[in-house]
Amino acid sequence: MLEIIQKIIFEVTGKSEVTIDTDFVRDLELNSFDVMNIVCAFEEYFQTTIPTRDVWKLHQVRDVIEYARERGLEE
Amino acid sequence: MKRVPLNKADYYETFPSYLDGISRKFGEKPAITYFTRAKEPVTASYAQVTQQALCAAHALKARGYAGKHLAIVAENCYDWLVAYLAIASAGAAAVCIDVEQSDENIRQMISQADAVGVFASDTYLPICRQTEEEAAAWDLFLLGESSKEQVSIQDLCREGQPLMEQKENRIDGLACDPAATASIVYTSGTTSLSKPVMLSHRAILYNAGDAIRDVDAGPRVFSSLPFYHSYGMTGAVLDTLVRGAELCINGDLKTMMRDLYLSQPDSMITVPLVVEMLYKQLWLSAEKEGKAKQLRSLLKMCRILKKLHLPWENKTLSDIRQKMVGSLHVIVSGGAHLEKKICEDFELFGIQILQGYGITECAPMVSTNGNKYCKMGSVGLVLDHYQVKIVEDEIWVKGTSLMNGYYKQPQQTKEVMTEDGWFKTGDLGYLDKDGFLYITGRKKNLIVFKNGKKVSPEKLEEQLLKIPMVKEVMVYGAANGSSADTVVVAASIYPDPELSKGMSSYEILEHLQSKIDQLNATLPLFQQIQMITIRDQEFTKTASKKIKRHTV
Repeated sequence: MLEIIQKIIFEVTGKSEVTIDTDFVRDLELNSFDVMNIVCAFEEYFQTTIPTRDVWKLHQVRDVIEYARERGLEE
Repeated sequence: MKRVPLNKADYYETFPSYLDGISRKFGEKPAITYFTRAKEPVTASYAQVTQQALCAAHALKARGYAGKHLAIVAENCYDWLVAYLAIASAGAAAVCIDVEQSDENIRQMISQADAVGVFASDTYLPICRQTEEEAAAWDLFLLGESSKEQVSIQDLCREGQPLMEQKENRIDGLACDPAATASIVYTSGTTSLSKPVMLSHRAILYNAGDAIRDVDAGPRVFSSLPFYHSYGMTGAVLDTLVRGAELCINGDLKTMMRDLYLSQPDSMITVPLVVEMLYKQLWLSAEKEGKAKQLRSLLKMCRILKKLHLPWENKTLSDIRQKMVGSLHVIVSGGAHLEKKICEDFELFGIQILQGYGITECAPMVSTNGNKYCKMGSVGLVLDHYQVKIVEDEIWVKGTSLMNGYYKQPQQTKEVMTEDGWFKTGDLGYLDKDGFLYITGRKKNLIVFKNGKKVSPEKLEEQLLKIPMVKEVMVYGAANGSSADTVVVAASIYPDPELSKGMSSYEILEHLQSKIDQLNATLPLFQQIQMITIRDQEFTKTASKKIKRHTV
């Protein structure tokens, strides 16, 4: 899962140093548009919809992995 | 400077007369368009929007809501607008709730405004009926698809239709006092400091009329501004409808760009964050195609030609614009400062950027640049129904569209209003000889973000001081380096010397970071503290023991 997220983040923002602890805002200096663009790519990859209100709860890569696991999204 | 306004505006005194007026004038013309998930446009005409709003207004009136407060808790959607127009036309006040706030803040705002009913979308319905007490205090109405358990806004439209048809004139029985509060809007900022502003029918509708006097935004407008802010409601919705144009709406960052392309608008009403994002995208795609260097030289050449007053319009640049944003050629930007260079560059691409200035308490627009009367770097000319004067560098405003006051906060109202009716904005600025207004700073310690949102440093400091290791703290807006004036929230902390005894600065930082991560998890994205610095000395303070912010 981490690799997929790394790939998505790289494709959308060009940032490559992403680990499980990476914080989108603090470490990658992303703004709300960048975060949304990542979410859109993520939705497309997994053929799912993430409600906007849930997006703001995803601060770090680990939150995304946890979120995907809770919803049974498989690689 | 003698100025001849571009457009004639209709000024309505109350919401029922506004709905009746625009419906008679523009009837079957398209009013509101939105796009479904499958990218299909759905359009409602002036006749449809006004019919639905007035029917629902009659139903609300019959249910006894006139004079009461009804909150709207939802993301932007067509039903949001119908609910707002219906509430105001029923003689009730629409309480507009910022849905980016936490669940707890949302409920607090509803009760603070004494709302007796709530219109909520599916997403927010559970938040609005969490306790039995709340479920009993508020009548709930659904925005969106009808359901068996919940009365929806569309049910109210059906309920009100026969009531309306009994009347000789469809706004009979919906008389409102123009000075009565039609809407309660919260100022931007964190809840404890965010104040409920009461705006009257006349204040809002005159502001909408004033806003279009100098601005020609074309027949098709796009806006993704949230309706719960007065800028989104008055500045994008009501003023577009007052002149009979079509408004394409969106409220989701995820589909904003998609809908912008689908809309093919003449103009967009937005905040600096969006303008900057478009600018960034333009350069990104130029880089990707290996044409950035070429583009830079082309812009440089056009800039020189323009300076020399020679013809500078360039086909390559307008082709790039066409590819990027289609027919868009006017952007109205407000809510925060926009870098001058971006405005200048966009102009070379054939997109005029008109900056304006507003504040919720003023319904909200105070000044705006027009297509004809425009000075880059300024926030434009003062609107017709406002006067502005500068008192000790602070901008004071007086006129028809001022608020009725903060709801149930007479003391706070008194602090910002003078006895002879001037509102003290807290913003610093000046007027030039031609009457253009310029903003130079803020009197209050607010950090203003590119999306127009604000955060009060004091509120965040209060939260940070709850962390035992934090002895003193100052929160401020810091440039984050990605562009000259992009702001992030930073905190300068003086750790408690006793508690941090024997710890290295790295350990202190790590400890504080973990505590701040917990705090950040409860805050909206833009309010999160992104930078921490540790001080080894206490802050310099004033006689009253307040940190001297400007000397740090």
